[in-house]
Amino acid sequence: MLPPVRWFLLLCAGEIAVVIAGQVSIPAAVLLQILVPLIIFRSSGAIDSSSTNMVFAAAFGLATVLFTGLLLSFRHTLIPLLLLTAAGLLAVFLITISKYRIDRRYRGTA
Amino acid sequence: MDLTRCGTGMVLLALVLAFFAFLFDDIPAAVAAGALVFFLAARGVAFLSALSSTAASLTVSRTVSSRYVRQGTAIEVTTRVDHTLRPSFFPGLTDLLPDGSALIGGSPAEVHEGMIRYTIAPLSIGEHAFPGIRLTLADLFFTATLTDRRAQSTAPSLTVLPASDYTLSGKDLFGESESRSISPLPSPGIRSFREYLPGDDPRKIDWKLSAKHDALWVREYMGRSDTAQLLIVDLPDASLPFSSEAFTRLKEAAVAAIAPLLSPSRGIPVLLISGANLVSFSPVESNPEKVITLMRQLSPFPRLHHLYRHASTPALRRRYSPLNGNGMSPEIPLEAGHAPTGEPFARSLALVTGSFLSRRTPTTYEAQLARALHPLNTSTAHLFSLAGGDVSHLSLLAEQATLRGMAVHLHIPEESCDLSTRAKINRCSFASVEVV
Repeated sequence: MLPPVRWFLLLCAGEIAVVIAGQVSIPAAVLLQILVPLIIFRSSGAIDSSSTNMVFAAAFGLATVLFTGLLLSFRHTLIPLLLLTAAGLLAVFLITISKYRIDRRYRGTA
Repeated sequence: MDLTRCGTGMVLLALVLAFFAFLFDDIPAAVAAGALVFFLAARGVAFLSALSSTAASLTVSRTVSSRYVRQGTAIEVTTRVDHTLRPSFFPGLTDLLPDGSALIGGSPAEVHEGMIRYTIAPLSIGEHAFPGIRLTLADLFFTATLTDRRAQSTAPSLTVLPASDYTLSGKDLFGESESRSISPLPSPGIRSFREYLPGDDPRKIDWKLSAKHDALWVREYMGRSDTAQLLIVDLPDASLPFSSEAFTRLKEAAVAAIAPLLSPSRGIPVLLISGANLVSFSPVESNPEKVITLMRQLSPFPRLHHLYRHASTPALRRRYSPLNGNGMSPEIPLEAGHAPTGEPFARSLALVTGSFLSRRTPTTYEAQLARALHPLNTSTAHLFSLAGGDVSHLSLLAEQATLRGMAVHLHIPEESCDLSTRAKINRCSFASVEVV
């Protein structure tokens, strides 16, 4: 199994390849972008073939395709990046709320 | 929920790509940044799902050796933990200690075949429930901690009773009453006389008796003696190899031995030595948690001074005294033809050794021991040692403590209890030897 530093370096190299491929073909870049993290983290053992991870991979691929469609419709990056920031913050908020609910469920009675 | 190093790296990579995309209006870079954000968000949701399912499958069953205990008594806790876990996630379980309890053995974070075993000593009275169990889940991107405080995870509760360390009222059989204050004035009654020891108060010397016997004798006054016990730990030499497992067991035995004696109202003297080096001495350590923490954090100490087959001056005087048979110890072999036996040789040997011994000064270690043991009014001392190598320092310690009326109980690990060590220890004046 590769050490985490190697995974990160592989991911960085993969992202550079995505950016370069995107200069030629956007669909190829999107396909590469979906495959790169899945292949890297599947080889590291962080992602397996369980049903949960299949749903996770499908959600990730769908979100990436939708975001690419948004980018192509706008033809510039400012507003999509602002929307992406908002989506990221919303995800952090929802994850925090979910964690709080789990904590509350198991904290017992005072 | 926190990001791991890998997760943090992915966030930074997404930020760099987003900045690049914003700066150069590059759509592929924006796609890459967005994909990484979505990847982490989706992974976060999957992680929370795994955390929730693992927590739901958690069953805790805890048993204690006794539910009703006195303050400071050691309790063995066994916790059985069962849970199901999705692959690619790493769990960590820690059993939380009740409030006011000190860990004296084992580890509440070590799960072996689904069991956690450790020993605690409750130090505060009252009813204390276990606070629950802490689950730590981690994967490559996230880590989270969840404390399960449901009823099944906090049972059973401990009822800690006081150590019955209250002041006695009235007078005892000797007509003395308990006093909360310590008076500097000695009692007028004299209990006994004994020979002068280095460190004794010169005001206690009985000059008439000293003149009669041609040696210094001191008076011992009456008074209620304290029942506190002295704790002595002999640390191993840091520059030499030693069994860390035996040392850990020795520390746990020391904590288990002193835990029942500890209470906030009564201190315990703690003496730390390392061979013939006095590391530290605390005449009254009244904070039980501090003592237990100190015991658990003990580590080997570099020895600056070493003793080898060293005996104290009184011991040598006794050995070469012409009154003791032929004046020779059986430990010193005599070669046939070179050592005549009988009265003249013993007298000559006693004369020669006596002239040397009269000018022999005690070592720094002996002087330090005398100063440390002098103010103590205890009758029992517990000595914990690996007893490796030369045990002259232990012999000197036992001799001085015995002279002051202390019974020294030696505790040694099983590894050190070989024939040669036993022979050396038997020559020391220990009241008992316990193998831990």
